[in-house]
Formats: sequence, structure tokens, C-alpha cells
Amino acid sequence: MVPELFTQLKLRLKVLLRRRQLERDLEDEIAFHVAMREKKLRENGTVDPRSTAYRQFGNQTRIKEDLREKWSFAAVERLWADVRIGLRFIQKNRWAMFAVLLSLSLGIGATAAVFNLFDFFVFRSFPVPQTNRIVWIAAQSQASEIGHLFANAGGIGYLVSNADFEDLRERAASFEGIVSSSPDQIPYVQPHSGQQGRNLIVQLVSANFFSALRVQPIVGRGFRPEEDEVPDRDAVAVISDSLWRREYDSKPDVIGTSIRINSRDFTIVGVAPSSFYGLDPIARPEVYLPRVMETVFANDASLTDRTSRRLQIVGRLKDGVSLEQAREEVARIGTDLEREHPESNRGLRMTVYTQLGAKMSLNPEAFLAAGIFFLVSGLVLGIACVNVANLLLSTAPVRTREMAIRVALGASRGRLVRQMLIESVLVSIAGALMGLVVAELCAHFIRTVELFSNLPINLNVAVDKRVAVFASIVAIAAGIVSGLIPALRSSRSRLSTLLKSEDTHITGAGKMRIRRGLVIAQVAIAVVVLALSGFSLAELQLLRNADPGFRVNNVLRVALSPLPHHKTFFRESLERLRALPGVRAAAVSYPEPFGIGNEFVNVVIDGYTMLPDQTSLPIMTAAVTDGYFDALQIPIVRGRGFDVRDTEEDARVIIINEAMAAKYFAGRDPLGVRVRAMGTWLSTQPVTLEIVGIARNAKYRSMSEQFEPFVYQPMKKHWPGYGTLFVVTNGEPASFANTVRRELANVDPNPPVYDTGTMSLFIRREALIVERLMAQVMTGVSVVGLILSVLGLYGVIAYSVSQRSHEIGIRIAVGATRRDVTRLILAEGVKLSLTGIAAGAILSAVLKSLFDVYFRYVNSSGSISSTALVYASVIIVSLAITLLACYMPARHASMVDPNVALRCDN
Amino acid sequence: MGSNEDRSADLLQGTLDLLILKSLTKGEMHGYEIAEWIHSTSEEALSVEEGALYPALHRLELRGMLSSSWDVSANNRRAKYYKLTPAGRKRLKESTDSWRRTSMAINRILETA
Repeated sequence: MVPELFTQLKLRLKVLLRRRQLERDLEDEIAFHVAMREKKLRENGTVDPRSTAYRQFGNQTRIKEDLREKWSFAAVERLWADVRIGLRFIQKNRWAMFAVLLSLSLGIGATAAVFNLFDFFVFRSFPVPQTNRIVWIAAQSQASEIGHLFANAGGIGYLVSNADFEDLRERAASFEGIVSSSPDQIPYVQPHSGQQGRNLIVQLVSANFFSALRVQPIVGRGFRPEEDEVPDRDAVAVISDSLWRREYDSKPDVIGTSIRINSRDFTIVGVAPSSFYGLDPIARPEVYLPRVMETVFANDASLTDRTSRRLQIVGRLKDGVSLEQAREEVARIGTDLEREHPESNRGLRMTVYTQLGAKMSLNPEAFLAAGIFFLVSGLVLGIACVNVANLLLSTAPVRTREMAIRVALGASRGRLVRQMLIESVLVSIAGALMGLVVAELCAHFIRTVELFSNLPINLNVAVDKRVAVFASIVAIAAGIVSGLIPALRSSRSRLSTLLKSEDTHITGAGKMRIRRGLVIAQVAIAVVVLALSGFSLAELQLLRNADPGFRVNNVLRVALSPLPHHKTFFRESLERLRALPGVRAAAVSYPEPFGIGNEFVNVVIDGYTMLPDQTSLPIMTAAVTDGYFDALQIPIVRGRGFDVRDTEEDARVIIINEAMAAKYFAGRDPLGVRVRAMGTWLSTQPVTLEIVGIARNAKYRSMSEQFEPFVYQPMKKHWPGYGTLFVVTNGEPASFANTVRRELANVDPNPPVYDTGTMSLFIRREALIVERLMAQVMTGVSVVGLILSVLGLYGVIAYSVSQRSHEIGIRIAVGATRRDVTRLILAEGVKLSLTGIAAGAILSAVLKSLFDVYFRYVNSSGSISSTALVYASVIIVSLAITLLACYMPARHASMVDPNVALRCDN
Repeated sequence: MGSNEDRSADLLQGTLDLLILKSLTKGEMHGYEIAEWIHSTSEEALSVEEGALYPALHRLELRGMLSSSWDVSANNRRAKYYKLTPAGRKRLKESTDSWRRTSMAINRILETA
């Protein structure tokens, strides 16, 4: 097949270059044949051999034509001719085409923007060579529970402990390399020693991180294998391209200079390329350090503690190793580790996921959301296509005659349909280009969303090649879909009737029917889209006003990254802040509600029977100082809160929440019960802790979560040093920001604050970031949909008025008042829009039930009224706007002058 | 066209290619010779229309089954000579086999009645 194509191409190219030669050869070959035949006929004694020979040969011209077509790129040439005719048509119908272009670019732009958003969050793979060979390696303990919690947090879960990672790396033969990266650290970084620094995202990675991912540093080198062997020895760093540009003016002599991170100097050895952003598209590290330098973050236990599962692990599959083989091997190693370390690894399964597979299993809701969004943007694109179809139909009268003439000249129907499809595809390609501009504007908006006041994290969404390819495919599909109906209609008409009839509007009635049908569909789709975005907005609003279970008003929060002397720092700061006038309370917590970081503690509860393969229960946890429950108004339902003794003396006490009491202490009193606990901030050996209090439920990961079991620990020696200060004030908390900062500076000259602001702002901005972004994008898309469908309705009514001006003229002449006429036209529009609205309302009720999970709050029992409210406002808004769209043509109709209308031919 | 045309069977779709390939196993030929060879070898049962012959020749050439060269013919005129390529030879063998199978099968069916 391939060599055959090659021969063809070679021969054809030869012909293309020597066209004349081909012509002569064809002539010669045929002439020769005829001459030979003539000779034979003469020998046989035929009368007039010459003309007989010619006659026998048949239609020479046709054969030559046939051969010529065989040799040339006829298909290409015809296509080019069609494109030229199409361009001419577009130029002639500039205004209609402009409207077409506008519709398409908005429709395609909305779709491309949605694709871009989800490509960024969900679909895209790591930006490294042969990325399809990179897979996630996951440890799942009691999969459903942990997986669910992480899914809520929206992060990549299934984390692996450092010790397990080292064993995996040693034993697994399926991988060219296995690399690890730590959770984001946000230490205080001074690029130039002695000068002002700031908090940056830092990641601790295995030495083979760059080499195994095949990321070539643009300057310098990656890490050497020996650099992640001995803890605390090799203080080397690779910095990101953006840090290099920002702080070092892209100078190559940055290699060898030192960068200060948490009062430790690191030598810069390399700069990562700008195309590479680590393993997380959102939080992009600015500095990479060797894995074993975790000591800088005062967290040395995590290197050896198998229950401290904090690493994300990915591996590059060896050539020829299938995903299944790798999965089997990793599962086997997991089982071995489980046998060797039963105290920490029992019930821990290890497996391998593709990049997409990991996201799908961890965060199925993202795919559901993607479904809703693609549905909505697809519907808006549908509205745009209907507009285009309608506009093309309105050019039909002119078209039909053109088509008739071409049919008369011998064009086939297929050729005509193709011609018209080419036109609409041409327009949609232009639409795709403009659509990409729209998508880029949308991406620009998303990029400006600020996540933290003092941390350079943003959503680096940009229109790239993938989006462009997607938009082009969508555009061509849209072009074909929207061009097909008009194309089929225009080319269907009978030749004889067309050429005969002077009045090309004769086919108008049938066309109006189609156009009305399309407009009803448009209004229906717009209602569906509006309703879906209305539900998202309602959901967002309900979430915003939902009670998180802790105090939101009058709280200033100050997020800090670790300090070597955090213990004294926080104690002194709290003392100073509590003494300030106007400050009612102050406390510290890590992690903070809705903040960065997920911490778990593994507990065994006396008297609770676990599942057969469970060694312990992973429970979300936070370390808090005394006064935390008072400050954030989380009532202690039973028992007591923490006091200074608990934090100072390393008391072995914990407080649990109501959800935990209900889940694990059914019918028992949890107070005084002892639990054995291991993991975060505790030693690697299990310790016994006593439950001294039960706190009311509060939300921790997201506003939409269900209450989860939770353990509060007193903040004491073994904790990483991060912390968020909560200052409860009399009056506006934002006005205390400077005072608080000054007080902190009195304790430490350079307090590592990475985010300051009020709690209410934080919750609006941070805790609901995904919901807000989705509601905004959805609303934007649906407004576009509404505008497009209103344009469509307006176009159809206006067209119908222009068609009926003759009739309207007669009506006025026989005594209809202007008002009658206005009412007549309005009635037509209202009938259309009411039908559409009714259909849309039914359709959106069906769709909403499909996506019930997404609209959890709207659906929850107490808020039936919000569903009704959404429907009511959608119906009122669409009715009002459609009325407006019909009013202008209706007014226009009432202005018809019967004298002019009746004298006119159409 | 001619009166003998009426007696000659219509060529089945695809069999013309087979006949052309077969004829060229005798060596290089130009279009007229091929037509004559088929006509005479079939004892005048088959005649090839020029309107079909030349498109078929050119199609086979484009597909690499035949190669062509220009030469001066016996009567001193420029003529285009066609020759089998290895690919053409292979195709001929395959088509012959498949033709045999098909025709035998058809015969078998026709004889059952």
C-alpha cells in the first residue's frame, strides 16, 4: 500500500511538472492506436478505413479527459475552485457572514475555554518527553476512606512513605526510574543573602527526579545520585526558570551562588526549563531540593516512619514493560512489604495508575464537572450553529438561483452540497481563530485569580497547541453541522420551478417552518444552559452562606511557614497579641481549616473492632494551641478543651469531634477512652492518648464536605512548625493587620508570613475557589448562549416581518391598527419563545437530576425553594429578553406604510 | 460499434486488468497490440473497447503494476510500450488464482440445475 502510494505520487509529480509532455503523450498514444487500426482495416479492405477507425475508437475527447483526470490532482484542483467560489460568496454577503462569524467565535470560544480549563486541571499529562510511559505509583490504605478525603481536598492522593519509596525503588524492575516529590513546602527564601526574601513553594525530590523524567536543565545540571543519600549533607538546589528570570536576570553565572532557605544556605546547581512545572500544574515549585534535605523543615522522622505517607511517586516504565506487568510487580512488592512490616503496612495495597487513571480514580467528581461543562458549552455551540444555519438559510433565495444555474450547467447535487459545506467550514475556520482569542481572554481571566495574598501561585492556564487543535476540530464539525441543512435545502429544489419562477420567495413558507423550529430549539437550549448555571450560582451562594462550624466574622488569619524556633515564637506571639486592646482571643492551628496540607493520624481505639485487614484508622487531624476552641467558637460538647498545661507538658490527650464519636463509639462514652496513635507529629512508636473532650463538628477540607471524623491534638514538640494564627478582634479584623504584623516583628525580625487576611475573605476566595471558578465560567458561557439565542430569535422575527410586509400592508389598509400589528408580531415571537422555554424547562429538570451530586446543596431538603427560584428567574429572564428581541421587529412592522408595501413586489 | 461487437461477451468488471496483465507476460506491447492479442487469443470472442482499455492501462501504470517507455514502432511511429513490473506479476498471479476459484465455483453452480 505504501510503496504503491509512493509510485503514484512520483508519477503524478512528474506529470505536474511536465504537463505539456503528458498532453502530447496522450495525443500520441491515441493517434498511434487509431493509425494501427486504420492500417489493419485497410488491409482487410474496409471502405473508408480512416473514419471507421476513428468511429471505432469512440469519443476521444472523453477518453483524454478521463486520462487527464487520472494523472492530475483533480480532486485538489476542484477543492481549490470551490474554496475560491466560497470566498467570493462570503465577500458578497459580508454582513450576514459577520454575524455568522460572531456567533461561531463565541460558540467555539466558549467550548475551547472550557476544554482549556479541564485540560489544565484534568486531562493534561506531565510536560516531559514520552509522557505516556510515566505512571503514578500509589499506596492505598483502606482505599475508600483515604481516597475520599483526598478527593475532597482536590489534590493528588494515594501517598507513599519515604521508606516504602526506597524499597520500591530498589526492588521494582519494571521502571527505568522511580521518582518522589514531597508535599509543597513554603519556607522563607532569600535569593540574595542579607536581602529581603519571601515565601516560595519548595519541593523535595529524589536525586533522579530530572533524569528519570528526562527533563534537561537549561543551565547547569540536575541532582547527582549521591546527593540524596545522606540526610542533611548536600545542600544543593535546582531553581525554576521563572525564579531565575525574576531574581537573577537569567544570568548563567547563577550556578554556584547560594540561596538561603529557612536560614540554611543551598548552592544552586541548575535551572529547570520553563516548560516543566513539577508534578502539579497549580502549585509550581520555584526551588527543588534533594529529598533527604527534609531536615531543613524540621521533619526528620518522616524519612524513616512508614506511617508518614507524604510522597507522590511516579515512575517511568522500561521499554517493553506493559502497565499490567508493572502493576503486578508493584502489587507483589506491596504484599512483601506488608509481610515484612505488618505494624505499619498491614492492609496497604500498592498499585500503578496511568496519569489519567489516577485522576479518574481519585477525583471522579472532576470528570462529572467536566461532563456538565462540556454539555453546557456544547449546547451553546449548538445555539451558535443554529444561528449560522439560520443566517445561511436567509441567503437561500439568492443561493437557490445560483444553484439552479449551476445545475443547469451540469453540476451534480453532491458537488453543490460540497460547495456549500466548504463555505461554512471556511467561515468556521475564521470562527475558530476568533474563538481562540475568546478562549485566551477567558484564560487571562482565570490567570488573574489570586489564591494567596503573598504566595506566587496562580492558575497558569494558557491557550496552547492542544486547545488550538481542539478548536479547529470543533470548528470544522460546527461548520459541517450548521451548513448541512441549508446546503441540502438549497440544492434540493427542482431546477425547472426555480428557473421559471421570478419570485424566489416561493419556497419561503417551508423555510420559515424550519427556521421557527430551529429558534424554538435555540431558546430551549438557552433555558437549559441558563438553568444549569443558575443552579451552580445557587449552589455557590448556599455554600457561601453555609455554616462551616467555626467563627468566620471578626477573625484575622496569618499563615506562617516553619521557623526553627517556632515553639517560642508562637508562645510569645500569642502572649503579645492577646494583650493588645481590641483583641478578644488568639490561637494557632496547623493545618488550618480549608488551608494547604492534609494531615492524618493512625489510631487504634480500645474497644472498637476494626475490619480484618486494618491495623489502624487514618483520621484527619490538626494540632491546635490552647484557646483555639474559644477563639474559633467551636463548642466543646462534652469534657474539656486544651489548656496551657497540655501544650507545655506534652500531655497525652486528644479531643475528637462528634462525627468521630458517632462513628467509632456507638453507644459508648468516648470520654476517658484510650487510643493508641502513630504518625504525624507523634513518634514512630505508638503512644497512648486519652480522649478528654468532644468538639462540635466543623468543616475542614471544603464547604461541601460531609462531616468527617477528626482528631485535635495539642500543639507541642513534634509538629512541623507551620501554623496559622487566628486573631479574633472587636471590629473590622482587616484594620488589625498592621498591628499584628508589628507585634510579630517584635518577636522575630523576619516573620515568615505567606498569607494575611480576614477569615471571611479567605473562605470566599480560597475555600470555594473551585466552586466559584466553575460558577463564573458557567455563567459566562450561558450568558453567551442567551445572547446568541436572542440574536437568533430577533433574526427570525425580523426576517418574518420582512417577508410579511405585503400582508401587513393589506391588514393596515383594511383597517388594522398599529397596535394590532404589533400584537400580531409579538404573539408570533411569544409563541415561539414560550414553546422553547417550556421545552427547555423540562429538559433542564432531566439534566439536573443527572448531575445531582454536583448540586448537592441545592438539592438538600431545606432548599427546595432555591430550585424553584432558579426556575422562576430563568423563565422570567428568558421571557423578558425574548420579548425585547421581538419588540423591535414588531414595532418595525407597525410602521409599515401600506402604500409602499402594496406597491412593492415582495 | 462494429457488427462483431454484438457477439462478443461483455467483459466482467475487473477482468480487463487481468487480461492486460496476462497479455504482457509475452513481453513489451503497446495498447493496440494488447487489444489485438486479447481479441485474437480469445478467438474473437472478446473485444476490448478503447474507451476502457486506455484508462485501465493508465490506472495500472499509476498503481505501479506496469511500467512504460516510448519507442519507435515497426512502422516508424512513436509508440508507448507497456511492461509488467514485479508488482504486476505478483498481482497477475493472485488475480489468476482468484479468477480460477470464482469461475469454477460459478460453473459448479450453473451445472447443478
